[in-house]
Parts: sequence; structure tokens; C-alpha cells
Amino acid sequence: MRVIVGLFVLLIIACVSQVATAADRSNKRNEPISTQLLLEEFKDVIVIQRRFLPKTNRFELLAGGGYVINDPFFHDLGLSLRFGYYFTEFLGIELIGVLWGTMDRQVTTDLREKKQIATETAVVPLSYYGLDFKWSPFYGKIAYDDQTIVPFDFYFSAGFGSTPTSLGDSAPTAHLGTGQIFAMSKWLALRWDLSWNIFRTTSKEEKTTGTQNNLFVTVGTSFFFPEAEYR
Amino acid sequence: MQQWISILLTVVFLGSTIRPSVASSEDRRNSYKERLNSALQMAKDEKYAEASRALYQILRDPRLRDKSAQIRYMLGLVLIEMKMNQVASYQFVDVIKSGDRKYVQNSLERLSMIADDLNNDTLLNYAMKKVKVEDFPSNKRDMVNFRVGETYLLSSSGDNSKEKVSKLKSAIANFRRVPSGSTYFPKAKYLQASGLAELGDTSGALEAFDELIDSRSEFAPTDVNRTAAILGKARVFYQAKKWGESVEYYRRVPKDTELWHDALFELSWALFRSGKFRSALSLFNSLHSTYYDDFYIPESLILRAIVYLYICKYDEMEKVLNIFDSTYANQLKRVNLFMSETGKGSDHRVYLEAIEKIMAAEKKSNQSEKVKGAIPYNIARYVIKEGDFSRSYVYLQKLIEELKRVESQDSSWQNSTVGRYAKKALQLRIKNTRLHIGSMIRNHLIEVRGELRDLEEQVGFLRYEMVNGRKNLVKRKILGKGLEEGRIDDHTDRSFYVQNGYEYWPFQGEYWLDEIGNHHYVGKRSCD
Repeated sequence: MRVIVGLFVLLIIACVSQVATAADRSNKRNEPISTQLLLEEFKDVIVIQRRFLPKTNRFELLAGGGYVINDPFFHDLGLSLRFGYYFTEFLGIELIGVLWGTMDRQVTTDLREKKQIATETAVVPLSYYGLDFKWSPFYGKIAYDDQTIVPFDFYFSAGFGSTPTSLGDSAPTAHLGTGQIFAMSKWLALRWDLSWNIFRTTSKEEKTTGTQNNLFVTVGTSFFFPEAEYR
Repeated sequence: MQQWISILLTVVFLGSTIRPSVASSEDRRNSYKERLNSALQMAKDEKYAEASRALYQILRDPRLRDKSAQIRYMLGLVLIEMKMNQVASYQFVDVIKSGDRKYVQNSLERLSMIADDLNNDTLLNYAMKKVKVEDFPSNKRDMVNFRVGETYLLSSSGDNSKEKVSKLKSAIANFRRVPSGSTYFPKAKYLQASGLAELGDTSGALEAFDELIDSRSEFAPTDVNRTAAILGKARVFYQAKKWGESVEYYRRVPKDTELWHDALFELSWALFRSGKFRSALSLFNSLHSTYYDDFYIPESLILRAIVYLYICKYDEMEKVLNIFDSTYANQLKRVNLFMSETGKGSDHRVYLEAIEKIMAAEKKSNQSEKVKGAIPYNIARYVIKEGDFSRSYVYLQKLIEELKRVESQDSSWQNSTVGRYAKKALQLRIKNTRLHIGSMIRNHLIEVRGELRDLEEQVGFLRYEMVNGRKNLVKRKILGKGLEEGRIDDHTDRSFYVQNGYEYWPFQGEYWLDEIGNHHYVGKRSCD
């Protein structure tokens, strides 16, 4: 539960930070400093600055933890490793590996112990392996407490992989994801990712086929290498 | 240290015993020797407070006037041990004035050390004009060479050309003698290069700055001395009208150093002089951002207006002139008001009090108090950063600390003659120093007032040119001779910047700290 709360807080922070950024800007404009009021009208000025965390031709290794947020019967906690390569600032590929550990929720325990309903037939993902294409069309930055500026990239990813399940088979899986990478330094970043895995499984006893949707959040630390080259 | 003083005092005392007696009576000699012996023993036992009381008592004995140099010298040494350098300095000055050959050299040596520690111009000037470098122990010669050079350099300003050249040459010669291993080396090398630049020896100055840069190669790129040398080189090139080289070196000043802002301002001049108006305008956007509201840079606004005038961007020019009016013209009024309220014959300490109030508000990060100060905050900040003020203010703080040390002694010492003397001497010195600093601030304010008045006049001329230019521009447009409006990046895709490792942000009047220095002017000329 703590993990869910933690993740939720992180998402809220991410959203609020953006709002705060906008508020900061409007506050700056409201400052009673004549210079500011007059200067904001200067035309024909742009800002071109070096990317704080360049990605082109660099590898990214993410180590983090994940949690499935839409499983009503189990707590699915995962260890996630991702290894990516960026061809450009916008495009890259990424190998994903997630190992899940499962714990019964109270409802599952009650079903089994009080109602004697077998829960072994429920489909539980054991792991996921896949390959994604990543597209990072947006970049931005947030100001934290008017002290620190943190640049970030917003990305979307899509790919395919395989999900070994508790039923003993490996289901072909489509994967969609989105997330943000917050640059802490030129080689270190914090990252969150929201992934949606879609796969079909067939129950051995009931011979029924169903589509499984796994929605999971990953939070982790990314390491970029080799050292950035600046042009 | 204790061992040192014991040995020194023993030597001084023994010196006195083998000296042929000039005493008028045996009793007097015995009594004197006894009292001096007792004071020496106290000093040996590290009872410096008691030793100082005893020595001061002996000093006041009119029968021992002929021994006063020796006693004063000993008293000076004891006071140094009590960390009362300013009071000790008076003893050494008196010994030097007495001309007693036996103690003059040692007193000069001690006085030089004290002057170096207190960093007081008057003491340094007094001591350094009398010292002979070769008389100093070899491990202190670097300090003496540096300080003598500094004294020559400071006294060279305002002299007529022949004298000035001679003093500058003497200063340079002394700075050259400071060895590279000395802690004084970076400052000495910097001042040597500055002196050479002032003499017009461009290559010599560049060579000296290079030596300084090389000597700091093992330090971080943001090392203050290294950065100062790079900035110095840029200035030498600027002075030699080598704009290209000057621009190159100004750009080498690291962004995360205190000197970067100065470099940015001076770079805008270099770019302007080399006709790179767009580059100069790019810098102004950073210089005039809210992050530098606290800086006193009125000249840069005038320069920005002139550049806009050159490329016929009259709307932008008007905005700049309006900024000048709303900031510096108002500040000029405040300075005028403050100076007229304080009056000509008033106690100049009020200037220091005004600055100190602002410094206290700054320490507490009290924005409203900073802004409400009698002197506009950015002008106060400019004065505080001036070399003469900061040196004298540090000296004042040292005097105040010394007075606190006097007041922290036990009451019997404080009520003794030496205690009362030390307190009175320090109080008087503090008062005079505050007066001196107050006058210094007043002089800076007079300079600022003169500068702002001149610039205000220039704003008037620029407004006239602006109106004239606008009229001509309209005429040309009517005749169909106007230039096409637009931006140089009209045909550049933003992804071009991104894919080359850069981020592109449109500027809409908001300033982000990480963007300072990365603003680019992309407008085009509106006239030929």
C-alpha cells in the first residue's frame, strides 16, 4: 500500500511541479520590479542552451521497483531492469526485464479460507521480457522551491515481449508506456514509468481465453553512459 | 610561539644588561633591572596580561626615558601575544620614531607583520617605506616584496606621469621578486601584470597573466586567481584594441564564478566595438535580467540603447531608456536626497551607518529592509564591493574584535593603566576608521552621482536620436525603401537545435537562472 501511496505522491508532485512552474512564472511577472515588467516585452530573443543530460549515442541502465496497480487479488511487486540505447535525442530502443513477486490481498485470502473458492486459477504474471521503441517528443524543466532547476524528458514507448504467468505458459505481450526522466546530473536521472501490458491467456481447467491488462508503475534510477560528449 | 617570545624577551633583556650603563644611580639600575626581570619572568610564564601591566608601569617611569625603546619593544611583543596587534603597533611605531638603532630594525619587522595581518593601508604605507627587504628573514621576504610593491602601486595613482611610471616600475620589480611558491604569488603576479598593462607593455602583461594561469593549472577551472588572470588577459587585449582575442578570453571566464558577470558586461563592450551587434544584444538580455537587479550597471543600459539605435529598433530602444528612467534616474534622486539630508559638514559616519544597515538586512535576507535603505541597494552593493571599502571595513572589523578582546580581559587588567590605554586607543582608532570609511563612501557616492548625471544627459540625447530615427524610418517605409522585418531563425527548425545537443526555448519575458548567458538575439536590422 505504501508503494501505491508513494507512487501516487510522486505523480502528484510531478503534476504540481509543472503547475508550480507556471505559478512561479506568473509570480515573477507580478514582482514589483520595473525591470522585469519592462523586460518581458523585449522581442526577437530566444534561448538556446546545451542539454543538461544529452542522450544521443548513449546507453541508459535503469534499476527500479514496480507495482501493478490494477490487480484486485494480489499485490504484485516487481524488480525492473531496463537497458536502452538512444540513436538521437528523440528516439531509442530499450530492453525490459521485470520479475514479479506476488502476495495475496485480504480479499483473496478471505475467498480461499472463508468461502473455499480456489484462487489458483487466477492469472498472475511472474515476469515480463520485452523490447520497446522509445520516442521523447517533449522536454521541459521544473523549478523546485525557487532553488533548483531540474530538466526532464517526457517519453512514450511501445513494444512487444513475453509474460510468463502462473498458469505455466508464456503469453505474447503488447506493451505501451509513458514516463519522465528527471536529470540529476549529466549521468544520473530519476525516472518513473507507467506501463500497460496486454496479453491473452487460456485457463487449462476451464479452457477459456481472456485478455489480461497489467497496468504497472515503475520508479527507479537511471545511469547514462558513456560520458556525454558536447559539441 | 611561547618559546619564541621567551627566547626573544631573554635576548632583549640580556642585551640590556650588557649594554654600558647610562643610569644615574646604582639604585635606579637595580630597581629597573629587577622590575624588568620580573616582567620578563611573567612573560616566560605566559602571564602576558600581568607582564603588559608591569612593562607599562616601567614605561611610565620618567627616570627610565632612555630605556623606553627597549621597554616599548618588549611591551609590543607581549601585546602581540595577547592578540592586540593594533595596540602593539603603536609601541613599534614609537620605537621606530625614537630612532634607537638597536630596536628599530626588529620593530620594523614586527610592525610589517602586524600591518600585513591588519591589512591596513596607513600602517603598511608607514612600515613599507622604511623597510629594507634584505634585513628581513628569508621566509618573510615574499610578504615584504609584495607589500612594498603594493604600496608603490597604490601611491602611483594620481601622480604625474614621470613619477607614476617610476612608481609603477618599482612596484613591478617588487612583485617580480615574489617567488612562485609563496602564498602572495597569485596576487603579486596579477598586480605585476596589471602594472605592466598600465605602463602599456601589452606583451609583458600577457606573459605575466600566462604565468599566473600556468601556476594554477592544478586547481579547478573556477579557481579565482586563474579566472582573474583570464579576465585580465581579456582586458589587456581590449586595451590593445584586439577585439577578437579580447572576446575569446572574456568567453573563457567560467560561468559559475563571481567574475562572470563582470566578464559579461565587458564582453558586451568588446562585441560592440567589434561591430557584433547581435552578439552584444544577446548578452544584454542576460545582463538586464531580474537576477542582476542588484548590480549597478547603468552604462550597460546606455550601450544597449545605442546598439538598438544602430540597427534602428526604436521600440526596443525606448524600452531600454524607460528602464533607465525607472531604475537609475530614480536612484539618482534618492542619492541626491540622502546626500543633501546628510549635509556637507556632517559627520561622515552616517554614510557608513547607512551601508551597515543594508549589510545587516542582506545578512538576514530581509528584502524589504534592503530596498528601503537610505542608499539604493545596488549602489550600496557597488560601494561595498569597491576594494578600498572592503579593505578598510575588514580592518575595522579586526579593530572591533581587538576591542572585544580588551573588554574580555579580567577587570583588574581593564582598570590598569595599560588596560585603559589600550581601550582608549582602540576606541579612538575605531572612531577615526569609521570616519575614514564614511568619507570613502561619500566619495564613491559623489562619483556615482556624477556618472548617473552624465548618463541621464546621454539618455536625453538618445531619446532625441530615437525620435529622429523613427521619423526617418516612417519616411523610408512610405517611399518603399524599408527593410523586411523578420528573424534570422525564421527558416530554422527547432529540432535542429535539439538534435545538435541543445534545447530551444522561446523567450516570453520570463527568466530562468540556467538560461542566463544563453539568450540569443535573432532580430534583423530595420535599416541599412
